[in-house]
Amino acid sequence: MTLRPFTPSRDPAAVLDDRTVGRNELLSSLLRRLASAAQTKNRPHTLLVGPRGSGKTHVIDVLLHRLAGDPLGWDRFVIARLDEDAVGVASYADLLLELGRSAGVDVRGRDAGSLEAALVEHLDGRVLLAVIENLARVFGGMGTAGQRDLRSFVETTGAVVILASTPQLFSAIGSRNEPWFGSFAVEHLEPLTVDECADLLGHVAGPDVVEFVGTRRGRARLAALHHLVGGWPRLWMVIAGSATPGALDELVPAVEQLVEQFVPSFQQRLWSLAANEARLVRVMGTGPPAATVAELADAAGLTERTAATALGRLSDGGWVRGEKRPGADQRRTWYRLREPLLRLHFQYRGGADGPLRETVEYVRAWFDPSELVPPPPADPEAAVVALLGRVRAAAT
Amino acid sequence: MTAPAAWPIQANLGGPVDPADHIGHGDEFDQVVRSVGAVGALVTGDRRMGKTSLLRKVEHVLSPEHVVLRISAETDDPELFGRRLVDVLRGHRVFAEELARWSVTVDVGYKGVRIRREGGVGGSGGGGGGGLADEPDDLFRWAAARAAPAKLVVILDEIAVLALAIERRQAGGSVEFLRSLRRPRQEMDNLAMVLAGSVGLHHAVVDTTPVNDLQRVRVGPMAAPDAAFLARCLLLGEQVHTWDEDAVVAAMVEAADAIPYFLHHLAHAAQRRGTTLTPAAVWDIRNAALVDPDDPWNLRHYRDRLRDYYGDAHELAASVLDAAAVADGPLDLSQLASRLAAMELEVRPTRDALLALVERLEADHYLARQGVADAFATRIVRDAWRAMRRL
Repeated sequence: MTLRPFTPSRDPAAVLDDRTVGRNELLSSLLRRLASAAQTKNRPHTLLVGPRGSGKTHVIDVLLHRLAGDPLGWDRFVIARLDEDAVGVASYADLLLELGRSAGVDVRGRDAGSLEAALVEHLDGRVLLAVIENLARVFGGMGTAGQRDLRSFVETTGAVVILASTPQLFSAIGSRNEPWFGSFAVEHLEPLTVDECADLLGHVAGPDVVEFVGTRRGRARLAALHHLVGGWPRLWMVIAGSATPGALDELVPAVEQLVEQFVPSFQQRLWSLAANEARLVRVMGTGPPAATVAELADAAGLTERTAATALGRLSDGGWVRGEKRPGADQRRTWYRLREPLLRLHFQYRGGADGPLRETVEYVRAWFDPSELVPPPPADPEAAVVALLGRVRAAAT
Repeated sequence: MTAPAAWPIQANLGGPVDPADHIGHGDEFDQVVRSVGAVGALVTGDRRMGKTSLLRKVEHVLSPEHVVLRISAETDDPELFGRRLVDVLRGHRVFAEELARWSVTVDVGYKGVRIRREGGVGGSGGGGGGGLADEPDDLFRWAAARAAPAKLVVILDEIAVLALAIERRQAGGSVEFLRSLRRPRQEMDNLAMVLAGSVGLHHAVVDTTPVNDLQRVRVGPMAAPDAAFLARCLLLGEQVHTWDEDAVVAAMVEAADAIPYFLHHLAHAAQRRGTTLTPAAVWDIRNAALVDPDDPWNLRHYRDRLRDYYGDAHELAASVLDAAAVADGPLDLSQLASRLAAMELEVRPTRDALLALVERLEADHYLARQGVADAFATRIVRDAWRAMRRL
């Protein structure tokens, strides 16, 4: 079986549907929502939110596939889709052009007003299901004026339902002064659980890996790996395509294989950052997993004000997330990298003597049922960092 | 009379609502419908209170008897608004034949909405052999004349956005534009307009006298029994299981302050939780939403928009809201002034300035007047304010 972790839309939707794990409740809910739009004049808009590799495109493909098989829904919709690689949408007219083209409308030589009229004529009483991936980028390209025009078209015609996705929430839907403020049912895609990752491997990995994962030892390795890299489906598709039972058992090779495949992607993304932002990301990738603005500023050699501004941009860009700690001073925010794999990237790129191997070995031991170690702490990674610090201090 | 049985309604967090699923705001609906017998209404209310949904129901109910045109004016592009207006007219049987015979242009600006017809062909209604052009006419006057003897009801949603766009092109243009809308409704007996907007007109125009002929209809939270009915429908639509539906519904109504948008959010979140819903869980969902960094109920704007709305006075406005948020009850101006005095403000407002600010906070739906005192308009916004300001 050829696995396409980065381009699920190349696989037949039925195949994607068969190997869907952890998303079935969401898909049922979305299908009912669209069925309601097909049968009534309700037009609920949906925004799927999840980082790269969280399965947004997969969910959309499978949803459209199931909708096609739903006798109550399909013929009521005209589907127009802007995929995540769509570029060049710089105005409302551009968006209408892309939607019209996808829906089969003759869009040549038309302006926004006549594109609207042509779309409505083409609908002929049906509902336009506008599927827009990377909505943040599309809205950014259109600007507020374009978003307003889209909003008023949708409100005036009552004939459009939007199904969109985005890597993270953005101000154009969260600020009251923006036309699409609060207009979407936001559905956050959650990481898969360990059991769901095991299910996914069961669908797509080779038989020897599936057999290993079925053992107690194999499940312990999976739990350790899940702790280290998280539960985003794309990572597990990559693991399924490359891991062997031996690599999974040793764990370090499996993690290194995984990180190695994402090196070019992380490098490109890191190079795109401004210098201050890149320094902060490096500090977060190599230091404690969570830190306050003051701690990060100190470690990166920046003023707190500069660090706070840069962290704001990193947060908007989906690199970091802030969190409050129960019982702690609620004015303080702790920041950590959103992607666990990015920390492993820094450790891996730190060289063969870097801390990656130690980190993985410790986590492997914590999750190993045969090891005589205490159960995993609430934040094993922080414990590993603290422990390594103590070991190194003792060694010197 | 027995109450109607609840029917399933799925949570809809901002998309158009089927008029058949619009619940509540019966008094406001009646006021709008009655206003159509005169010159119309100005419908105001904060975003997500259900104004647009109410207007759709008004359109739905009035359409069999009247000629109803409903269009969103939420655009910065007056030309695009004009094109859409023509499309809406073409979609109506009363105007379709006439417009098919003419090439029509609509000009939208501070002088109003003006229609110009050119090159009419065939038919009995004028125009003749083509190549003709008539003088521009006010579109609404023209449409009302065409619709007679039926009443023409024009529903313009988010009117303040278009007015602001016109103001940007021509200083003072927004007031002129609103005056241009007033003229035909004063002149034509069979024309009524329903203007609506979440952005208060006071943000678009200094002088709102051009709309003082319209009946003001304010859309706020629902009546509690209506909110309870909507909650039941949403629980059905989202297939949320409860052990004690009455208790859960009561908790939903109270937690959402009977505001439909938050009721929809509660039902949506309850469905995503997937477990049996209890009154305690309702409050858990609500309280978690108030402190969630992702702001899933979109409450942070109440804080963030202050700078845009109040300019240099935004810190004072925030201080007034701080005082109201922690007060045990409504505060009159003297009480408010003494609370502000304890806050060590750089500039202490005069009584008149404070009164003006409080009235603006009322117009922007933060505060609600109770006698001579003011309190937060809704408890949910007060609690959100406390959470955001760490009070």
